[in-house]
Amino acid sequence: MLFGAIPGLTVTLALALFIPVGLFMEPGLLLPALVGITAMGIFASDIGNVLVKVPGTPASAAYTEELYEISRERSVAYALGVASLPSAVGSLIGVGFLVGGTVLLARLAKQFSSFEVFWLVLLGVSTGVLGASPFWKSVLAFGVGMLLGTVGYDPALGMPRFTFGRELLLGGFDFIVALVGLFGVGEVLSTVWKGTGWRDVSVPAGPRGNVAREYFVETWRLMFEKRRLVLRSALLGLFVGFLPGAGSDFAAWVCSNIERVRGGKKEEVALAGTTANNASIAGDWVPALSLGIPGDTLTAIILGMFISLGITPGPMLFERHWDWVVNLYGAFLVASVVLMPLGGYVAAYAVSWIARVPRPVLMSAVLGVCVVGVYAVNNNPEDLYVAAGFGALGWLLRAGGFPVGQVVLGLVLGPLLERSFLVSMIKTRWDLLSFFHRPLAVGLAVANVIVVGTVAWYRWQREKGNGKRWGEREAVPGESG
Amino acid sequence: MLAGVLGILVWVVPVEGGGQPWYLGPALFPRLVGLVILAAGVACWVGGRREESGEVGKGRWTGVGLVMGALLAAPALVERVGLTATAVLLTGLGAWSLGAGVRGGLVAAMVVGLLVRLVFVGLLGVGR
Repeated sequence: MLFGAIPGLTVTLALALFIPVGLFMEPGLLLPALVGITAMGIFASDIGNVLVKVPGTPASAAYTEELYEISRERSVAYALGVASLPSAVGSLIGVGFLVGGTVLLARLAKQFSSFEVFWLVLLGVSTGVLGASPFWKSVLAFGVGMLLGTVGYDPALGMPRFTFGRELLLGGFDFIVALVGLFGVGEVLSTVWKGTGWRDVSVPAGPRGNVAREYFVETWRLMFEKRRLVLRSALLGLFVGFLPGAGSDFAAWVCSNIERVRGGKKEEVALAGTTANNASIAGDWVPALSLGIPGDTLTAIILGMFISLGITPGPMLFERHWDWVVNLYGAFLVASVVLMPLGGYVAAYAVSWIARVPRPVLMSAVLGVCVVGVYAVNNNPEDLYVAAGFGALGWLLRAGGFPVGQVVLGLVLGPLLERSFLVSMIKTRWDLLSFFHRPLAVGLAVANVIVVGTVAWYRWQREKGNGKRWGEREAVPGESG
Repeated sequence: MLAGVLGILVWVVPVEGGGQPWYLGPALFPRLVGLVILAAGVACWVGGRREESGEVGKGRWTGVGLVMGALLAAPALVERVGLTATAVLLTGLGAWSLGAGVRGGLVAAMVVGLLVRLVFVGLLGVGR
């Protein structure tokens, strides 16, 4: 919650720093911890919105203006209520879908061959590229991630590539080392480069009036009045989250923009955005758990970690480790019903303290933890060189305005795409038409065309109009996807 | 420039193909990705000419150079002075580069030192 709440620190960074510790945990315990960090971090990114008009994530940037105005006009407690309680409801609706959706999809996935997997991964690639802005920078960052994913043994024939005779690179880049480098070291370098600059931000003094009444009673009243809007945004957010590659930021932008276009009040825009934001988190997990295809950067990180631990997400996860899946559902439920409302309530009291943690002190501690975290992965000092390289890449990409999260998506999806493509080609002696032989594969190919066409059309429409584009958002400090 | 270097590099660096031509072997995918990167790089460059120049060149080169140098020296430091001391040193250097001040740097270094000693080394057995 701390990382989500402090402007410039991100949920992705929190995950990257937690992962080296998580490697030593039991998977049954690790999964709920990851869910807790993700869900709380996404919600807590709204705290920056409320306090200093600085969103913690690209998703919360979708309704920054509205939430900040609510906090100024009404109260911080009320604005935090509008941020947290709809988040909890959206997340709760998402959990219901997550439980049903993953089980059903995992059953269907058993019938998938390399052809169907190829189409699904391609869907993730194309929506992932289209889901970030600017388009060509997103393509380039995604391509760099895919290219980095080709280092080591190739997934189909087992030939070493781009290893330059180094044993360290034979297995490819260690995902966790790469992640800590890109997000942790890269963020520190970026902060050193730009200078910290958060000292002039005015922070509200703290809660005024009856916090419990403002936070719980008034927000529930608003949500009850706007129950249809909450439900609609949750369902739309879920659907967007379910699409591979389109994450919570896409969901939040779509839903809050719809309310803006409809001429909704600022409370309605914020309600739509926060509800969709958190509902899409559960939606993201559906393809990630049942098919092994990440919905966004955060699930890509978590899937990468699964793979590092030797856990293969997909249908077999449900057969072999059903208890882990149940733990995960439980963690989502606890995060929605208890942690989010409680976290927001605590934040209403701790607001002035949270935003006053000196950022240079925090970022220097992040650097120290990154060094230890990278070393802890394999007890190999050479990994620090890899992390430094990825850190430099992360810093350069940030400096050039490239979406760093796309590199991670490319790193995860690239090998999946290559494996499914090459295995299909080897099976059919390079018959490209074989991708259209199976009915399920044809269905997925058509789904690809429809989804990509719709996203591209929507994007084009937004960019053509005069309003704010959904992908063109305010600069999010330290944004990492 | 990064796109250009990467795009050309994947075509120049030889990849063992197990006797197959490159377009049927392990070189196919990276080379296709290299082409995409090159195309995206050109598009970014063309688009970037119309916008104002990026942030590169306007930041603190010394600070970044110091942190990068320390990171590159870290593997040697870990082997000589140990993990905890390396982490503390890098935290201190980071604090100095970030302008946290002496007190802030000391606090950050102490917190990281304690975390590494108690949790990573003591509890998880890292670096033993």
